[in-house]
Amino acid sequence: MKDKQQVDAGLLVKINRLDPAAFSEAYDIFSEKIYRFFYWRTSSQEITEDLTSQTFLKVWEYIRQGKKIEHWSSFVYRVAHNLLVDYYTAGVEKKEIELIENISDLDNSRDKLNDLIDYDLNRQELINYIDQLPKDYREIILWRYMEDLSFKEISKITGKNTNTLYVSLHRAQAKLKQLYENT
Amino acid sequence: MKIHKPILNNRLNSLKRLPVDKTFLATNKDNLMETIYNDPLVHKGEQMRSVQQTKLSFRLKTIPIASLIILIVAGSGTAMASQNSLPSDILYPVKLMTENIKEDLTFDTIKRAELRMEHAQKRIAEITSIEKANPKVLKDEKVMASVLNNYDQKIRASVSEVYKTPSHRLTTKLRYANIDNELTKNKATLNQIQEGSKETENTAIKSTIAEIEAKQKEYIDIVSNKAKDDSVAAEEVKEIIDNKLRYWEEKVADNYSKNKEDDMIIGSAENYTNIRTETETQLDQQANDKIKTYREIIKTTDNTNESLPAIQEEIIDWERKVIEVEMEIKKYRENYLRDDSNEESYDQYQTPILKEKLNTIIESKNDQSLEEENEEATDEDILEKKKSTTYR
Repeated sequence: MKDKQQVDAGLLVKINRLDPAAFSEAYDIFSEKIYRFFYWRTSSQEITEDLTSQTFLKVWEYIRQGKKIEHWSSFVYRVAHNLLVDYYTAGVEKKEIELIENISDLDNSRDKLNDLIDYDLNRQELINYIDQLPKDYREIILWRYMEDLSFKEISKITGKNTNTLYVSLHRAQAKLKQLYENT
Repeated sequence: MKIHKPILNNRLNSLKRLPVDKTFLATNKDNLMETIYNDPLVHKGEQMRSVQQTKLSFRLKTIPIASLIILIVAGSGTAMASQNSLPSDILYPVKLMTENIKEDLTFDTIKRAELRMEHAQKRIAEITSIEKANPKVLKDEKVMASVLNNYDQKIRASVSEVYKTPSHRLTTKLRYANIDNELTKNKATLNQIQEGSKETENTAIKSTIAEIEAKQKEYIDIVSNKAKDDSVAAEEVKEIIDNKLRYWEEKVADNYSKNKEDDMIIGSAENYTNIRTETETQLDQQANDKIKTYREIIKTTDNTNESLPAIQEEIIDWERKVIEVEMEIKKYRENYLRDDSNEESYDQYQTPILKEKLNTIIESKNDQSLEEENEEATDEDILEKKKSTTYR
């Protein structure tokens, strides 16, 4: 499928000029990626939907203040990343009260995720292993494979050096391999 | 279990294609776009225009009741008689008044703009006929000023209407080419008069004409800029539609080849073939037809044509429908595959020949699928499901 995958420079110029049609096109290109980004990290459809729509609103809010986006994908992911961090920090305070509820929620949403994954055993196996990885390794795998970002982009979003990222991806892969081999 | 790096990479790459809830994304888009379209900043350009408009448009709110009564009392007799009057005649003010009333009573803004244009043309025609019949009047400052101002007023009102109407809604009379043509002609006439007044050294009339000419230039600029803007916008719309059409074309073609593969694998499993409902095939056929007609329309349209926005809306509608149907079909398939009673239909793949065939198909499929988009998840997943069944 040669459908447009990237928000190119021309489209970005239009977006920066507050062109609604261009923004809508960018949404078409990017919304699925953002949706997956949140779904994977929150495991909750509800939160994913909420945060996905917030992300695009935030992006719009940013350009309507007259600021210009220079690189679409890293910018949007950074907004999403920040929203997720905000969501987690806000969650910490409520954590104790909602603990019991959350557990059942998580169970349910895991089921949903499994539904969506469509019985693909290979994929499911892999996801289980990724789940077992330490947080840093898991993140790099997600950024690189799930979101399909370049090291440069990941570095822009997370603020980490590309070399560090490269090394941790390598280690994450090795770790994954190890997990496969141990079973 | 040993896993080789390429296989691990393949699997990692498959993460990109995790399905998403498209219905949610579609509704969310609607909401988002609604917010955006209602954003005052998006309409900044239009707001700036409307300030100008309030200055220019003064009429509709105050239809003078008195003039309505006069029209009725005076009856059509006088009004009719006044229609051929010239600026120097007694009935001339009646002519202007009836014109104004006519304009006020025309509620269709485009028709009103047309009418104003006509009336402005009349002013110029009057000036030329005075030149022949009674050249003295041309030297009368007062009369000339009122005629010229009336002319300017009408043109200005007309142009402001043109400015706020999208090009595709304008009639031929109000198009850029026509307005430009008329105004240039008028300019020639006005120039003649200006030259005529040189002899008498009537500076007041000269300066009025010069002023009006300057304004006319501005009007032409406004109209031409608008025409340009609109054609740029139309090009953009065309591009967007074109992209969408290409997407659908590929998708339909893709679906078609996949269906063929499905047929090969499934063979006589009638139940499964039944799942590929008529709706789906119909959708494909319809889509092909539609894409053809849309393409033809796009080729022949320019910014003055109404069809572009209509097509865009239709395509959006169409997309929504297709996504709904896709979801339905997906659900249907899932249910079918989950249903234990259909287990038999898998048994026939267990024969060695079929197994081999299936595996080669799956392999080629897997290679392709690396470059493929998420949209195909539906069919792909079924294949992969089968794959896992054969492996066991």
